[in-house]
Amino acid sequence: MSALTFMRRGAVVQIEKFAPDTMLLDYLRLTEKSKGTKEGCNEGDCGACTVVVGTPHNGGVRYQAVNACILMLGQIHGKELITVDDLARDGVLHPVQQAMVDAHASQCGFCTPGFVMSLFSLAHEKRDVTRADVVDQIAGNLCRCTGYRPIIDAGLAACNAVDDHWSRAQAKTSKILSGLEGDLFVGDDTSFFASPASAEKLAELCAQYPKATILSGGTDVGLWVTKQMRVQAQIIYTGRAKGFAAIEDHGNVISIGAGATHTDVLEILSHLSPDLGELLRRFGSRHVRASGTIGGNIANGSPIGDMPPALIALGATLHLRHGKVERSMKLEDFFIAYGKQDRKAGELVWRVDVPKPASNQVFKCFKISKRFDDDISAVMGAFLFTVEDSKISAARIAFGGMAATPKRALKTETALIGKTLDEALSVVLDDYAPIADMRASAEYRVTVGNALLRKALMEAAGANDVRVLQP
Amino acid sequence: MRTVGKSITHDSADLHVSGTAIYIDDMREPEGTVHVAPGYAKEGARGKIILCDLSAVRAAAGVIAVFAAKDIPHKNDCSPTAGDDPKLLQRLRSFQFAIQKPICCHLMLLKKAMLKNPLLIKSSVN
Repeated sequence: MSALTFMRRGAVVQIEKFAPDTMLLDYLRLTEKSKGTKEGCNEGDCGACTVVVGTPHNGGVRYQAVNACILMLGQIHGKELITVDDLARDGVLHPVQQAMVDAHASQCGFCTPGFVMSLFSLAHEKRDVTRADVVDQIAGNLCRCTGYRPIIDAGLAACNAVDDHWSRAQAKTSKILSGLEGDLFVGDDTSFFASPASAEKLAELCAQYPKATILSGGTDVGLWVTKQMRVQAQIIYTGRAKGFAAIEDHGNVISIGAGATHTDVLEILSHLSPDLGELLRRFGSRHVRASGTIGGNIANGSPIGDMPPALIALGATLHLRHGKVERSMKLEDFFIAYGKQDRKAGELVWRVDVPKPASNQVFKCFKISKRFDDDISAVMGAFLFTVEDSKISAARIAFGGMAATPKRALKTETALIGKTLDEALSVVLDDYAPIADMRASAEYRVTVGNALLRKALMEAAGANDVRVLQP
Repeated sequence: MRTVGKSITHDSADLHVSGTAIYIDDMREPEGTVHVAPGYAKEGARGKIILCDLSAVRAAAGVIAVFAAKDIPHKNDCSPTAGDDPKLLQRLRSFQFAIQKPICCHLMLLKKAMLKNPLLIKSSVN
C-alpha cells in the first residue's frame, strides 16, 4: 500500500502524502483542525493529548489510550483513531463524559479531554473496574487543579460494562481494519514512512536503508522530533511487523520479540517475578507502556531505561538481526558507553531471551523515582542471588542511573559469594561513581544503591517489603 | 441562598468533557501575530556570560527583533519584591537547584514558521 489508511468516525481515511515525521497531534490540531485534543508537555508525560487507538484483536477491537504528541501519524495505519471530539453523539454526552460532569471532575478543563479518553479506553478494556484500575489508568494524565478524587469517582461510576457506539460496532470495525493488512510505504527513497507487515520484510528494509530511523513505540524517537527538532526523513516503523512482537514461554526461558510492548509483557513477566511486575506497572504510564517496546527500551541505550538492569540481572541474551544474519550476545555486552551500543546501522534489536529464576534463585528489583508513577528512575536496582547450602553461590546485580550505561556490579557480586544472606549485609556497593543531575545527587544515588542492596538481601532472606533500614 | 449547600455543575463542564471549550492555543491567531522565543546559552546554568553574539539570529529570515538585557529601558527585573529576578541576563547567574537549566540571555520575536527552526547562537559561559 502506498497511502496511509485508517478508520476515523466510521469512515476509512487515506492520506497519500505527508512528511514522514508528522506527529499525530499536529495532524489532529493543525490539519484536521480537531482542537479537542490538547497539547501540554509534548513529551508523553502529561496526557493532555490522550487519544484512543483501536487495533483488531481476536475478532473484536482492542482500545488503548496513547499520547498523540509523541505518536507519529504513520503509526495509526490500519487502526481506528478516536478523539474526544467524537464521543458525544447527537448532542448526548458519552457515559464517561457524563460521569466526569456529575462528579465535578473538571476545573480549568485543559487536562479533561485527556482524562476522558483515558477512562474511555479503560471502560472498553475492563469490566467492574476497581479503584486501583482507575488510578493505574490515569497515572499518565496529570491534573493540577481539580484533584484526582472526583476524577477517580467518575472512572468508577462510568467504567463498568460500557455499552456504546464503539462496543456495538466492534465486529464491523475489526473486519474493516483486518482488511488493511500488508506492507505500507509512503514516499520515495529519500523521504518515506515505511510500515512493513512482516518481521522478514522489516529486517530487509532496515538493511536496505541503514540511515533510516527505526521507530518502535515512539516514546523516545517522538521526542527527537518534538523537543530536539530533529527532522526524521526516513522512518521504518516496526509496530505492524507480524512475528516481531511474539512472546513465547519455553519453560525455563521466556523469549520476547523486540516489538512486544510493555503492556504485552506485563502479565508474563509478573508471573516470572512480582517485583518485575511492579516495575512494569510503574514503567512510564499505561499510555507509554501501550506504545513503548522492550526492544526500543534496550536499543536506545539509555542509562536510565528500566528494563535493561532487570533483564541483565536475570541473565538475558540479546539477539540482533541484520538482513538475514542473526547474532547474539549477553545483554550487558550490548551497552558499550553512553549513547553507544553494539548495533550496526540497519541492524535490529530482534529478540531477548529471559531465563526464569531457578528454585534456588531469588530475583528482586526496585525503582526509585521522585514521583511514584509516570516518572523516570533516579536509581533502578536489580538483583539475582543464587543460594546453595544457605550461602550465596552466585550473584548478578545491575543498576540503572548509577553509570553511563545500565551496568553490572561485578566487584560487589564477587564480594557476596560465599556469604550467607545475613553476612552479606556487610558488603558495600563498590562499582559505581554516579553523577549528580536533576533526578538525584551523586551522594543520594550511592546511599540509595546501598540501601537497595540491603533491602534485596533482607527480602531474599524472607523479610517482606522492607521499607525502613536501620543503620 | 440559591447556591449554598447545593451541588452545582461547573458551567463549562460539558464543554470541558467534550473538548469544545476553547483555549488560546485553539484559536486561530490574528493575521500577522508574532511569537516570542527565549534564547538560551546552552553551556551552563551558572557563570558569567562572556560572549553573546546575536548577529546570526538577527540576520536569520523570519526574525523580526532580538532583545537582550541592554535593550530593556527600565529596570531589568520581574520579581515582586526582592529585586532578584532579572528578566534577561547580562552577566552573572546561578540557579541553585536547576542544575541543567540553561541561561536565558535574550528574547527573539519571530514569525511562527521560525519556531521549529533551531538557530545558531554563538555564546559562551564560564
